[in-house]
Amino acid sequence: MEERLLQQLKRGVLEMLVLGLVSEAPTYGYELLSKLKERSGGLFVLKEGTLYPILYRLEDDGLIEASWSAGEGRTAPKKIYTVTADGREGLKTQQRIWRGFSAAVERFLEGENEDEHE
Amino acid sequence: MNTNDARLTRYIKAVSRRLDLPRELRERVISDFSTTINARVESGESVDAVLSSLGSPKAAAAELNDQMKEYICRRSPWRFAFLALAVAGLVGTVIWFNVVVSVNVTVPHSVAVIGGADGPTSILVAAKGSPELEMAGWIALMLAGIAGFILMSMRRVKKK
Repeated sequence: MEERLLQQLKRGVLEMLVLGLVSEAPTYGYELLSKLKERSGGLFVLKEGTLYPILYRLEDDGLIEASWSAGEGRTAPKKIYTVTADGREGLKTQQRIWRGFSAAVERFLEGENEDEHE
Repeated sequence: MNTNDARLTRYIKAVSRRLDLPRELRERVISDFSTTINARVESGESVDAVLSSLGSPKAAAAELNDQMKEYICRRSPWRFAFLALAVAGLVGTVIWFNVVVSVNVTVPHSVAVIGGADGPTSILVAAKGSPELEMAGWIALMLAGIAGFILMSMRRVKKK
């Protein structure tokens, strides 16, 4: 039960978090996974494959785009994701929706607590 | 380094073979998958460590297959209507060629052998109205069908 709620909540915000990270700097899958883990204090520990559907949906919607960076020296070429102009707009909208949502839920929970105290 | 490169390439190929995904999507997944593997090795992890953390090719592919389930490349069934249109156009074009061209081909022949044999030919052609226009129509139908089919095959149906 707790596990499922957590899963659903994660699923709801993951796309926004990934879009946020890509919009900070062009990046690739593995780096995204490490950053997600680090920034969330270990809450978002994803498997490689979990990230792909999220990236592909963002790419299909035109919010990010993929390109190949030439390898420097002996390094292999890498598939890099970069945010688009639409992506920056989309991120702002998503963040606004999230803040409104979380504030409303927070108020709701505080109201419940007050009821209990009375 | 070279033997390691070969091991990585072999591993990635083995995973790729086991991916049960449409070709286009499989390439997409593999491009990200190999980017990650290369990045991990370049950042200092040993090839052994990377490969053992990913598991056997079979296990890694099974996991990717599972994760990609929610992103399925579904295509509109309407694209088959366009395919049917293309086939109709093709059939029309072929029939037109058989009727008109075969007649045309016999024209110089019959003119050479039996003079004045172009009489029936011209009647046949005249009876068909404007053949050039008709052929253009069939070809246009075929091209429209092909274009529609390709366009609809490329677009993914959004999942709600």
